[in-house]
Amino acid sequence: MAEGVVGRLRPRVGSWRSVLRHGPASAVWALLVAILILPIAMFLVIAISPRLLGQGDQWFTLRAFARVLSPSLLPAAVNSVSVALAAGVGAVVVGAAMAWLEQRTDLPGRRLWSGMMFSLMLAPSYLIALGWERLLEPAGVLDVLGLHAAWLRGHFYGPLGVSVVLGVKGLPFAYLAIAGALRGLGDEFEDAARVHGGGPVTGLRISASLLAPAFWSAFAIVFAESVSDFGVADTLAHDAHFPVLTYTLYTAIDAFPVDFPVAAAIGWVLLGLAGLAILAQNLAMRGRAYQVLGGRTRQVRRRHLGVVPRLSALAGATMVGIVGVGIPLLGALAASLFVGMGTLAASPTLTLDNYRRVLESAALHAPLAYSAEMAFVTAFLAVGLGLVCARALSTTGNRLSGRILDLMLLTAVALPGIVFAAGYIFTYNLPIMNRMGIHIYGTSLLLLLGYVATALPSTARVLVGSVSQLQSSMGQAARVHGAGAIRAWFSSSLPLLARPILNAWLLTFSATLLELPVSQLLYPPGSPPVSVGITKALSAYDLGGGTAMEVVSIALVLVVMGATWLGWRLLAPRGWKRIGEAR
Amino acid sequence: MSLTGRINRRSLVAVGLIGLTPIIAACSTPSAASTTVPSAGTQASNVAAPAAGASSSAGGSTVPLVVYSAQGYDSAVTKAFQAATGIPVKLVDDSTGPLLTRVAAEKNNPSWNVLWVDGDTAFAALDQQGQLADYTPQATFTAAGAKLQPSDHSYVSVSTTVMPGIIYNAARTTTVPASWQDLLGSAYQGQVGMNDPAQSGPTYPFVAGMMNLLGGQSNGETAGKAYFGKLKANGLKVFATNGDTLHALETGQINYGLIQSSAIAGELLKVKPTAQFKPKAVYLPKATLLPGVVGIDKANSPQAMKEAQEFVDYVLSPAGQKVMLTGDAQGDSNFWPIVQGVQANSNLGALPDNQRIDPYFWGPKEGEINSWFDQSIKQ
Amino acid sequence: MTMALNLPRTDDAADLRAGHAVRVRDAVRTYGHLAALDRVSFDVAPGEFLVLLGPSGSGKSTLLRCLAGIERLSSGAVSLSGAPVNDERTFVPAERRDLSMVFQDYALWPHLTVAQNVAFALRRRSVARDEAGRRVTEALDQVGLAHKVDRHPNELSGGEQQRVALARAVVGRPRLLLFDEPLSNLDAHLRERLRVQISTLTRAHRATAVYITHDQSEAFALADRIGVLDRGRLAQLDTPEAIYHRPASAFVARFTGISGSLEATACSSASAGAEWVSVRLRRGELRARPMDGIDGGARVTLLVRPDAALLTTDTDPRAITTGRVTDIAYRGRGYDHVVDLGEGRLTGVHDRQAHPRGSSVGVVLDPAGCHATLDPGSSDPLDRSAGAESTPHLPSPVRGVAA
Repeated sequence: MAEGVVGRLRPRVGSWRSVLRHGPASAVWALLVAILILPIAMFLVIAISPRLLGQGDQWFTLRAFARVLSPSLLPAAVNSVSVALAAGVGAVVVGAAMAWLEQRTDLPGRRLWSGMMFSLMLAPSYLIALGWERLLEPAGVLDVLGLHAAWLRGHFYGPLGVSVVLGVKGLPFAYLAIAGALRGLGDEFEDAARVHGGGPVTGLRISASLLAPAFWSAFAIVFAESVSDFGVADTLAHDAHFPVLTYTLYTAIDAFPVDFPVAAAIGWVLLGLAGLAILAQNLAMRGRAYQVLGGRTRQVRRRHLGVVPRLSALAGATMVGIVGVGIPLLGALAASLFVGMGTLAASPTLTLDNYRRVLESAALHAPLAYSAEMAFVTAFLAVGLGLVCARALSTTGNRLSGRILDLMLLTAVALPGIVFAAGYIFTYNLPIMNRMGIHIYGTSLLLLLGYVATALPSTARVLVGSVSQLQSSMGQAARVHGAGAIRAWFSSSLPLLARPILNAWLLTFSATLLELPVSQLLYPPGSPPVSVGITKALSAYDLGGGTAMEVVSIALVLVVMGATWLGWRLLAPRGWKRIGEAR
Repeated sequence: MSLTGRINRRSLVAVGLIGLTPIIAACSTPSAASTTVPSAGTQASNVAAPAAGASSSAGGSTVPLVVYSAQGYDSAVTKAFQAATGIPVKLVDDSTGPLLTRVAAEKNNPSWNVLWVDGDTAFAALDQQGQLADYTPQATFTAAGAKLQPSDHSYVSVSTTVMPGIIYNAARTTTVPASWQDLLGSAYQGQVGMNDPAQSGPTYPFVAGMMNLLGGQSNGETAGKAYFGKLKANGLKVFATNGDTLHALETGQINYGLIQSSAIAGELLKVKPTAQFKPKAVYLPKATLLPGVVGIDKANSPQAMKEAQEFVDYVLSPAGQKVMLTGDAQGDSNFWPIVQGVQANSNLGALPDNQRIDPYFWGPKEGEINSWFDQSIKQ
Repeated sequence: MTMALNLPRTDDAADLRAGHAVRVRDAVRTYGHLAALDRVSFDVAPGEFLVLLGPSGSGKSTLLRCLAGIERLSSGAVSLSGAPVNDERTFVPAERRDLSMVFQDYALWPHLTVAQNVAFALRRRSVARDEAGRRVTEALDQVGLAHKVDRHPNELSGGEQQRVALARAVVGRPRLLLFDEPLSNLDAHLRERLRVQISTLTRAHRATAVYITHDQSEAFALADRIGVLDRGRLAQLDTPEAIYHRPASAFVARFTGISGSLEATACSSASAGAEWVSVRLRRGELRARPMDGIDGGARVTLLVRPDAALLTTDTDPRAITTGRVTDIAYRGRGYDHVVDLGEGRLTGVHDRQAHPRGSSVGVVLDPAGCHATLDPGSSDPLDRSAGAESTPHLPSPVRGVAA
């Protein structure tokens, strides 16, 4: 046992060396090319060369751009940018406030509020929009209650409402990215500022600038998600006659024959907007990152809130809860539990018929199981790949490869899922792919890859805040004390990142379970995911049944979340739970 | 030291669990994928039993028939077809919009064998792009049915609804229109709602149908635009889809809704009339026929082609029609059969006075007319 | 806080293995166009304590990380006990080099207790659990922290954390111990005491040690030999005494502690290795150690070690130059003075007796502590060396080594 370890060395031969050194990185890049770059490129190229993929007669044309860059597009572009800006700023401000309240103060019901952030992710935009419409429409809930909703209706059906709904959708991403970073930030930095003569405001400013990478990261993702959003564009924005870019895109691919070149040209515009967000982020950060997560970070104190701050914080959190969870819940309940709520048909009657119908229907079980399975696997793959990307983003942020990766991930967010999925079909249904022996179109594998690619950008973003805070000496110390690369990661990095990883997993799982656009275009014949069943039911005027299916799916997510939380409480080593916990 | 030993072991267990899960998951994926091979979960159970007694004309080995469909009864029909013929069916069941997007994206290398959605304009476009295989089914059509078949037999109309019917709340109004011009009168001001053709698939045929009705192919566009302009001036409200327009009627935002006949019939079946809400239907001459259409992919293998044709014949057979008429009782089953000898469900009246519009003429105008509607009528 | 040092028991000492023999040949490490290491070669004998001394940017951290296996050389070779661990064909990762390391930022894992942190380093040896527990306790006992086994790192002070890191480094009895400026985050008081612990523990374990620092007082106090690094090159490698008395270059002399530099004129010629060169100051001639080849009549700079200057009255005939006291600091055993001379300024000039500010004094210089160079350097002796980092404690090594 005491023999020199060196004596047992297996020297690695030169040719192997480069493979081992660059192999894993190359494999990750190859995978990213396959699931992100290639499909996006294939979709975008149609804008200038429709003939290439059989979508038109010309090999090269600028017709699609000419159509898109008409004066009528400009207001749509301005609208898209302004609501996305508002949503991004709003989500970052509210997300930061919620993260701070939850982690740094003795606000009552902290667990409830953080759980609420997760539940925000569960409400698809359709449900949020439906909730608002049930609330505000003529003869809607407010009118029934005798409150005149006309004034609110006038204001909400427009940029304000669109921004609010988009902001609520982006809030969980912002919250998670900021909470992860805040967890790693001890309050010594703030203390340092205070003892050097800064007031509370200066202290807050110091902390804010240390958290700036997370803020920018959160903003960029909410911005990109908002410009690419389809659900709100299709419902609230459309009903309010508030044109946004994605709606133009929608009309291009909804009418038959489908005009992919025009959709692709709008894709280029969306891409440019995502590029602007990245540019702003890079200009603001100039590559700075702060590594503060390590052995020397002390546990932080919880701040005691006085009566007035406490009440206002509670009121604020409740407001977020009402806007984000309460109203969609109202929509879901109104649609699935009551027959005739708000209508002239009868006084609303409570019924479980929809649920009975849905739960007894075999048509729900298989799709739900299939979606759950796919979401489960997707969450693992996306978190694994997301960690690799987050690490690459945090260490090579200044380098070209880091910039490319960042741009690539944000690009994938900025393009609506439906065009992304179309890119998958263009790429993997090419006759040449079949000739090469690649037959993955129409299989679960391609759907899985599509899910991973869709989830990856937000998963990586949520993780990057924490990963960039991880001091490199943590892993190095494990290596020099005898742990191999893999064990070093599992023993020294995983415990410090366990909580963000768990959060990212849950985020990905819940977002994938009800994912719609990629599911619609890529699902293997015969195996519909649950989201397709839901929209089918909704489009067949079965509002009650569709919503009940949605609620059942959300309940499944809640069960998984609860189980995960319980597992963490029971199984995670004590030390893992200490990381980032306040006293 | 026992302490370190214990903690280490525990964290190892946790790490192990986390490490194992993807493996478990990975093992379970192929099984998910494999269920797709014979048929979808719910349909899988039906494969074995009927296959034995099947009188498949396929002779050789069957290949799974991939059906893209947006019909509410498609699941029931494909199951019954599979039971009757032993040909396994893989169904992609979705709304018309996403299905057509998928079909368009697959243009290079179609993976569907049969496409089945409402409206013949998309099929006319597919035919013009050379994507459809001609087929003349064995069934004998009614007069309306024959009118709906294309002269080159590039697709097959198998059923029809009309667009629009008018659903009105008899509890709040007693005025019933007798002609399209009536809707422009002051009695209807601010009380009429319709769907947005950009969001509701069946609504473009209504808009095009009005144009065709008012001025034919030569003058219809101008006359139709003028008519919708007057409707707008009289307070027309535009909602997204059939469901939204119905909801507006239910909540008293409008008293007349111009929607698809099957949606009206479904609503009449669902609603128990009250003092506040008594929905009734009326059809004005002439409503536009909106057929349910089946198309066969031209790129099918010979075996798949044979099966696809068998599928069309099954759908038009009395057995197939029966499944269609019962598969989605409160929804798409409320159509008028166009095969001789098959009766519509009793809740439906006779097929209203109607017209057929030429999909080869009106189809290509859809994008342009929809954006006119978006800019001129909806605002 | 106890700082008792409990050395390994004798029965354990029997199974202690000899330290690694470290051999580094032509080590080069480049980052883009920047060469952090430029053809560095040296050997460390088993059990030897080598300190690599240099300012920030001199490449000492890079060298240490290459020894550890955290980084790879761009070219060159490293072998441990004769086995190549890094050359053109081979790279042995850190975990298989049988070494351990103490990090500047401690690098304790926050999710593990003190005991678990230390026990981690035993996992690579198949040590039975009881034995492991005993060794962990022993290692923590050696650094005086046996009573804090169940604490988490963030419940400890900085000094305690670094002692845990030290215990973690020695518990596995590795054959090579690497220290990456382990004391730089601690205050002076703790630094001194922990330095003693590092010195004695490392030697008691018979491990070879490579220790990097920018603080020459630490270097002189700890090292068997010191290697001075300058911009990626090894400027000199020798015993502390030799480095102090015969610095190979002006850089080495400046970085290992001088009281100041004086302008002078050479009166004789001497080659770089010669024993003496004669130089003229204002009041007379003086012998000095030539570090460069010097021609008679050349303007030279005289680098004066702190203990080579003696204060006397300005009339004392032994005084080679005179000047005025500009500052004085009481140091317990006497006073350190700052003296402005015509030829330059000397700081930290010690005398038992106080010379008040403004008084005129004579300065006697010991030739053995005066090193002549043609390199004028900057007026501030620390400017190029440690100026950017925290200032080294000038007088202390002098007393530690020469007094």
